[in-house]
Amino acid sequence: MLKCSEVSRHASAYLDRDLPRLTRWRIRVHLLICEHCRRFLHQLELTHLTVREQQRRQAAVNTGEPASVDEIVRKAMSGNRPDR
Amino acid sequence: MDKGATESDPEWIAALRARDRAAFTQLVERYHAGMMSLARSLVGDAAADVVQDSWISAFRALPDFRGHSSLKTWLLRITANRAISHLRSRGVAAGESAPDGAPLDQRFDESGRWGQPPFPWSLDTPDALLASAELRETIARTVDALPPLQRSVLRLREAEGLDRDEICKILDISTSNLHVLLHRARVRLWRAIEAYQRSGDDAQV
Repeated sequence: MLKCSEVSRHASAYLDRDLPRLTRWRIRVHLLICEHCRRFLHQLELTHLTVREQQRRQAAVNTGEPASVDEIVRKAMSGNRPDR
Repeated sequence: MDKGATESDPEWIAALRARDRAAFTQLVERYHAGMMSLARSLVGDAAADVVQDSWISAFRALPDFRGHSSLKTWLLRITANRAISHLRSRGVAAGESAPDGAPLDQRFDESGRWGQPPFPWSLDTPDALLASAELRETIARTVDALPPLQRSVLRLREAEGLDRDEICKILDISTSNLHVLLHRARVRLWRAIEAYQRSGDDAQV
């Protein structure tokens, strides 16, 4: 029987479906009887979904300063490293 | 060359290898934003310099591009390399400065059961959570405070939606390392959201 601490360590990989089948199955069995771990998994998934949504919204806002493509190309082709 | 040139277009790839200006300009137009996003997650305000530097490296290396990975992965890998050496030159560790072990250890008792179980959340959907300006701010601050590699894993996985193998290639890390980074980042964010929900409930009492 897995311990709660072990379930928590596998939680992210479990949500990403990145665990060997046996480990996955053992976690499922644990979740059937452990309310705290069920809640933790649910909240971690919610965290993941919320952060994903926030990151996407931010990325949409942050498409950034419209750097001049010509300028970037010119510098890259002349090989001048930016001044630091 | 038309705007829709793709990697499956051998003429475009050949033009890139020959360092043709028009082909290279298309490359910059297409991938600059993604490179900025990755660089920002690693080096913050230095991103523009790091990405310009990456374009210089990429332009030099173009004749050697063999198509073992996609152009996008190749460019992002160059960007990550540049960004990480930028951090190093400033004495910043990209990973964890001190390993925090299992970040949840203190929540379990000696037998490995929850000593302090997860606190129930009153806000229970992403939209409900993100409706709070304070919580959006808390999440943004927690992401900003993550070690650079955790932040970039989060960015590549959650915002850009790249798959596991691509991320490992770009950041030059193993799959198990990726899991650890992603898990630590999520647990930190979970703790931040939990603390927020807990304080909200206290305030209502």
